[in-house]
Amino acid sequence: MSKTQDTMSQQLMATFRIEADEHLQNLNSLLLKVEKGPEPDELQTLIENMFREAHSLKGAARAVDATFMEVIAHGLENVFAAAKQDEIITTPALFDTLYESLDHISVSLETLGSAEEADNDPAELRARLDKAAKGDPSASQKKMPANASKKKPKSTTASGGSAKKVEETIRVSTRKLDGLMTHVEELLVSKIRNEQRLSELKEIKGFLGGWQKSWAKTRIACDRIRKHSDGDLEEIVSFLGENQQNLKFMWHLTNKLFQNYSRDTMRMSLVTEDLQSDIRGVRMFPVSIIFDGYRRMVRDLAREQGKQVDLVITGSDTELDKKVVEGIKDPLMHMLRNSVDHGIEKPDARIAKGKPPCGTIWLEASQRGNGIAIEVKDDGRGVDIARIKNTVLARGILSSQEIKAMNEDDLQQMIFRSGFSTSTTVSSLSGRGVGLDVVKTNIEELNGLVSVYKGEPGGTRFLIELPLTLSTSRVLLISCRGETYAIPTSMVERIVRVNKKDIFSVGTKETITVGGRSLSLARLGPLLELPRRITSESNDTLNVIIVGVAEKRVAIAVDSLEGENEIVIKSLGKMMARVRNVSGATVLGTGKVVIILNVADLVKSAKKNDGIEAKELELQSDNRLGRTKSVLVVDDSMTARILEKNILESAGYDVVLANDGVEALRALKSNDCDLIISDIDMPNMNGFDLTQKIKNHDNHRDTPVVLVTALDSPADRERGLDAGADVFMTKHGFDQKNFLATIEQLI
Amino acid sequence: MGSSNGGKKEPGGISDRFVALRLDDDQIKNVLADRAATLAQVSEEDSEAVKPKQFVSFKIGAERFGVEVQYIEEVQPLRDLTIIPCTPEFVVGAVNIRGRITPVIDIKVFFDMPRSDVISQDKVIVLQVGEKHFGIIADNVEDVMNLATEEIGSQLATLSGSHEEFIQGVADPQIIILDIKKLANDRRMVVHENV
Repeated sequence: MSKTQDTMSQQLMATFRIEADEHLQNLNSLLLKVEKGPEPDELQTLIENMFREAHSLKGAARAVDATFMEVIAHGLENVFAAAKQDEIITTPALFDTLYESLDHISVSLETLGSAEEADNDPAELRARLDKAAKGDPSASQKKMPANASKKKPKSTTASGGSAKKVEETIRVSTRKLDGLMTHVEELLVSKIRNEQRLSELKEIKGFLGGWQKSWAKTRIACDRIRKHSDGDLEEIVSFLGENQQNLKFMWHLTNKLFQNYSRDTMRMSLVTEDLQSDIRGVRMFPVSIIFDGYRRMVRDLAREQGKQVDLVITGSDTELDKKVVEGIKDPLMHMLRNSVDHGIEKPDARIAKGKPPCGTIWLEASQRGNGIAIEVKDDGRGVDIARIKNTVLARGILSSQEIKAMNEDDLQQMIFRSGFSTSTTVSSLSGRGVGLDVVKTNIEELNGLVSVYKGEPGGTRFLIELPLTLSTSRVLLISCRGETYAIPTSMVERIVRVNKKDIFSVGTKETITVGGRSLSLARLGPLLELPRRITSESNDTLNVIIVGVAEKRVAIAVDSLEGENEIVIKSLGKMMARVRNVSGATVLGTGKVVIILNVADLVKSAKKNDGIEAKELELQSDNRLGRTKSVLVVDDSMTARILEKNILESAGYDVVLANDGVEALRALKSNDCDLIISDIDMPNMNGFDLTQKIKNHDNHRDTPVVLVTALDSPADRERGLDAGADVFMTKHGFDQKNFLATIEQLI
Repeated sequence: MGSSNGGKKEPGGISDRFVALRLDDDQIKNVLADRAATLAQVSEEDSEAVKPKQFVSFKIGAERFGVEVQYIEEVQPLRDLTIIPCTPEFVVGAVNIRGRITPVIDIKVFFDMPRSDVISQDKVIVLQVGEKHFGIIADNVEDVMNLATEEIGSQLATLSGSHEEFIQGVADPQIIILDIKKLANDRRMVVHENV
């Protein structure tokens, strides 16, 4: 066979597999509906649809020479054709034969083209189908209550008229979609960078504006010089005047550029976001593509165990990213198996308990905020807390004391522990060596959470919370020991500032109380095994973020908070297959790589790290000072504010922020500040006026004021010091060490 | 392998062929015989082994290393390195190479070699080996050179023990030629740890 022929036939086979898979899924779900005994009208449509599916499957199988598959599909088609003619008697045995045929085709699909296929002659199955099509009655007498109006089988294509009109679609390989997604992600990074550029441009504009204004102030002095001076100075003065005009012109140009650029940026941002959400939408699949398959599985499993189970599915049109949908398929299957195996009791046992003989499993998907929730509930026997206790004790996972300290909810979560299985019997379908710990791991890999609760009617309720998409996420940016890290916002319950005095020890664990709840406190540095740096940690308060996985909450102390951001999640590549405490990385607008932390891991690490924590705590406690000094930072540039805030906070100061002089005075009313750092050029009230007001105020006249300006002009310096400023600093060549040293001297 | 250009400093494949055209009949016979012998020997091996390959040499501290050019995507100045927490010591961090997050490793740490005192380490050699995308930190990228297989000697001056397997050999002047394919595919290179 030539190479091109080979690839062609491979492509054809791949297409066939996809198509056949779809037909099989549809047939399975249709058959399940028929088995439930629907209304005659509905039944008629169902049979009609089944017939059409079988017919198409037959045609497709013929096209690729899959003879046996074609034969079975043909057999099915005949059975459905007979059912349409009302010539058939349904029995459980018939349904079994039909399911078996579907399974046979499904198996044949996998072995297609291999040697096994040849040995797979389904003669016996074919004979049974033929018999069924001829209306050969078996055990039961139940007649399929089919239609009165008899439609001819040949009207297969025309009968689609009553069916819902379907949107036109094309099949696109996911590889192509993934490629598109990657490009859009890149575009998103460019967008973020572009916005960064815009704010840089704004800074330049602001700088030029300030420069221009301060230059303008020299005009009177220049005029005076011109009057009283000879030619040489005159020339310089007029040169200065010219330059002032140039500067003004420059400012206008910059301003225009800024305005146009910001308009363009906004437009590009909008288009990019639209594009991103469109592409994301393309990758979204309804959960029905996996949910529908579970019906069959639950039915088979229940039958095998002599149980009666009704699977009630709601919200199957909820859409999720393809990767997430794929990722939850197996965990959900396992949980459903668990419910049938261990949750739902046998009919007689249920009757004895006063429950209906038929158990119910609810599978519900719904959108919740930024993610979706999937619940698997059953009305079975529920989780046996006593048994969990015994197992936990027997396996030495927890001591009896620890168990006593836990509430029922926490104890229930123990079933997700590795190596934990309370079931004494293992069925053929469940078990298979996979425990709930694997379910948990799989879901955590999708940035999701899974937890177990007591169900309403006494059964069990599993709750899975998932993000809508894996590719972008909102994160909280925090810093620790000089590095920035990202934590998915969805995992952060709240952010608090904790006074060190309020930290107490339980055993070796540092503990804090937040909202009436005791939480163990971990420090991010040791948690991430970061090299210890010599920091003068003299802060009296800690920035603490409370993160949670399922019902577990841990408080984590970080050095500082840097804001929230929408980011594109990227992988660290094949070489970093799985890094402890890390779930991925992202590139910020600045081009810098930031590590995204894995909250589930952090919670685990926090439990392990208690010992290390205690040691580090001792080291730090020596550094404690008296009251924390607080600094008011006044600047109309956000960048400057944040920059100064970070420097000050890392040096252990409390920081209060204000936009301009007016805000600063307001802030002074409600805050005790030990020092004020102010910009000069600000809207509403500038730095000079602010300084004057502070120095004339009875309560604040002793509070040092540091004036910081973009430009070092002697005139400004003089004016500032005249107004009462204690120190005058320039932003140009801003030196962190010098800055902190100055402040330290003042307070 | 007895090829006539074995010891030459600059074994260029094309120029050799031109030279061969001007040889007399006996010499041509010899060359052909040599070639036949060589081809017969490498049937199971990569048949390109006799052709000289291009290598890039770089320095880390006092040591020189060589990597085959075909695996090198680019060389970039090392900027904005981000630490990846909870990774082995040989993982220096990650950098952004045109939107792609690239882990950077220190080959000397991986080889348990002593760290030199004076190191600038301001270059990243970005490699793509199969599915693995990563960077190697280097002080300086020095040279591109052609090396025939026989020019890579087997004596290992600086390395010993378990890491020998990642070394193809040593070329003049004391350039440790890395077997980057083996290195990239080694289990120890992949970080896979759970809490």
